[in-house]
Amino acid sequence: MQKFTINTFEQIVEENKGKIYRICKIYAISPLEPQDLFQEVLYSIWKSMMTFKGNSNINTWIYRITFNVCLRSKQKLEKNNFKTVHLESIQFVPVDIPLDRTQQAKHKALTSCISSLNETDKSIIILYLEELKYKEIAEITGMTENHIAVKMKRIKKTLLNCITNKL
Amino acid sequence: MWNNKQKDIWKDIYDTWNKQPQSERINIQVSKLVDEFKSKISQFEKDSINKDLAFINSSVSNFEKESIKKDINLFTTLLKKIISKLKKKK
Repeated sequence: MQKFTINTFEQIVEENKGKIYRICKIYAISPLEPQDLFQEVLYSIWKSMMTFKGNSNINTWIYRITFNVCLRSKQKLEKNNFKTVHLESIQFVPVDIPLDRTQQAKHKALTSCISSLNETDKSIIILYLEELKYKEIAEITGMTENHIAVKMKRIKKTLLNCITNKL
Repeated sequence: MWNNKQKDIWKDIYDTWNKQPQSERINIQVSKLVDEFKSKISQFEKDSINKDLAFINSSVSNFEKESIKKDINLFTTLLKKIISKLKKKK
């Protein structure tokens, strides 16, 4: 069993905050903000750290927690049971970046097309775009590698059609 | 099989996802964050647990009340039967 300290937690957070926030942005549905989901994910990671037995890759573990929190929050929201707590220690500072309209349009279309997929397909394609192997995707989603491969063919086709129509 | 155009679009999708414009920078003070988890959120969870406990207690006490009522009724009926039998014997 791996021994976790605040330093380990800090390292996990720093290394993974970008990808966690990317996923939160897909799952955040108004009035739920990506920042709310992000906080929830970090809290779940912190809570689960003590029980992490090291049986799975830490990367896989982080993804699994992130998807669980995002899906659970959606269910809580549907039951009007999602309460957010604002944490002062996490700050989202706007960055002035040069506007690339084409890139922005592509990103908007991609986000919209991914959001329109069902929950399972959504998580599979996100993990695929995050460059995970089928074996890792299978481990996170609880499906078999073959099932993932079959699904991926369909998802890719759907996503391609959706994006081509939008751009 | 994918044709070249589809392959290009797919590569574009891939790049779009991995080169997302960072409109926000996330600053986290981890030691303060852990303190906040311990204080604010644990309070929230305590409230949530207290609500559940109150619900369980109220449910259990109702259940117990019903159960005691049933027992008392059973005892009363039995006692009445015994008394009536005793009276008959006399």
